[in-house]
Amino acid sequence: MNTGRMARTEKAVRLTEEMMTYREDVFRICLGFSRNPVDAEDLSQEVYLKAFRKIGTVHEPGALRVWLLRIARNTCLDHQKKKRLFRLFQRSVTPGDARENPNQHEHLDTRERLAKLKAAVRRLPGKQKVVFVLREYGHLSYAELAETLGLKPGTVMSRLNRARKAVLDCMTEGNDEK
Amino acid sequence: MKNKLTDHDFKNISALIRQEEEDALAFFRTRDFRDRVETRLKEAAGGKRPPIHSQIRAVPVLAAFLVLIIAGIFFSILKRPGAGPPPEFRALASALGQLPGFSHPPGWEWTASPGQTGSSRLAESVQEALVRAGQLKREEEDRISIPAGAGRVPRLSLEQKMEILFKEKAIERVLSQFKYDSKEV
Repeated sequence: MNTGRMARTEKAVRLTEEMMTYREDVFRICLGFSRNPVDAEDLSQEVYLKAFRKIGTVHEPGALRVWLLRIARNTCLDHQKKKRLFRLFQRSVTPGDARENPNQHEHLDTRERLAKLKAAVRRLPGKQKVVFVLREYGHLSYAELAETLGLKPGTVMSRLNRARKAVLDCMTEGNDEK
Repeated sequence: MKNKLTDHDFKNISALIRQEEEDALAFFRTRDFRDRVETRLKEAAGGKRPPIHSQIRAVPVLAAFLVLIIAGIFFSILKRPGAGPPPEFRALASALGQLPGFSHPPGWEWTASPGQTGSSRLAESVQEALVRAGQLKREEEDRISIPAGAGRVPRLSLEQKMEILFKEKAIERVLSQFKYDSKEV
């Protein structure tokens, strides 16, 4: 084995290990998009499979997290598109989640609020949803958001503000009626 | 409602999201994510250990292999027996070779190999016309041949000059007609 090959192997192993440390970040983003933990786990696996396939294209190990989260965003958006198409043929699927976390035992009120939150996030327009999920679930900073999405920080902030307002309106909608 | 939201306005919803996250993460942590990913990688690689690093090397090797194959096909086409100019060109070369004044020796004639389908009807007619014209010209030249060492232009009658000119023009017309037909084809 020559030194170049060894160096590449070492680099790939190091990147793999580093990537694994971000698995919860990836999972949270997938959760934000998919709205249920089981799907989020499947999507996280997809993200890592894609990332491993493209690991040779990583030239800046410092930007690994942003790169990985970008793959997560793209994978989730692709998944949503497929799901939307699937729903066209599956009218029986309810707006709520088909699969819930088996470990959760929330209070009824919390469940209702969570269901509202999920519905509110689902209703967000595409661009706002991406910013909202990456910020609220992925915990990305404004700078990281701007880098991941290729936008100016000002654009990110305004989109996030609009998304938050829409979610808040949607959440308080029912309460106002009561 | 205010246009600009603060983090405080969104506090309750953020808390709800944190709670949702915590529950989901508790579920996620019970799963052995690394093992699951490795299993899926193995499945994707057809049961073998995923050769992640070898993919980096595979690209230039494949490219070199493809280049070699393309070069092989190209040279095999070039070196194929019977490959050469189109039949019209061969016919024309053969006909022109029979005319005096061209570089081929008098006995030279292009012969098609037995496997070849032969030239087109157009090429054949052109060849015939040119051969006939060439023969006529040769006969004419024999008739008015310049004696060796004469060193001067033979004196020709007006009629002879007109005849030569007419034949030259006939050859020219045939050639130009052939060129026009070739373009149309």
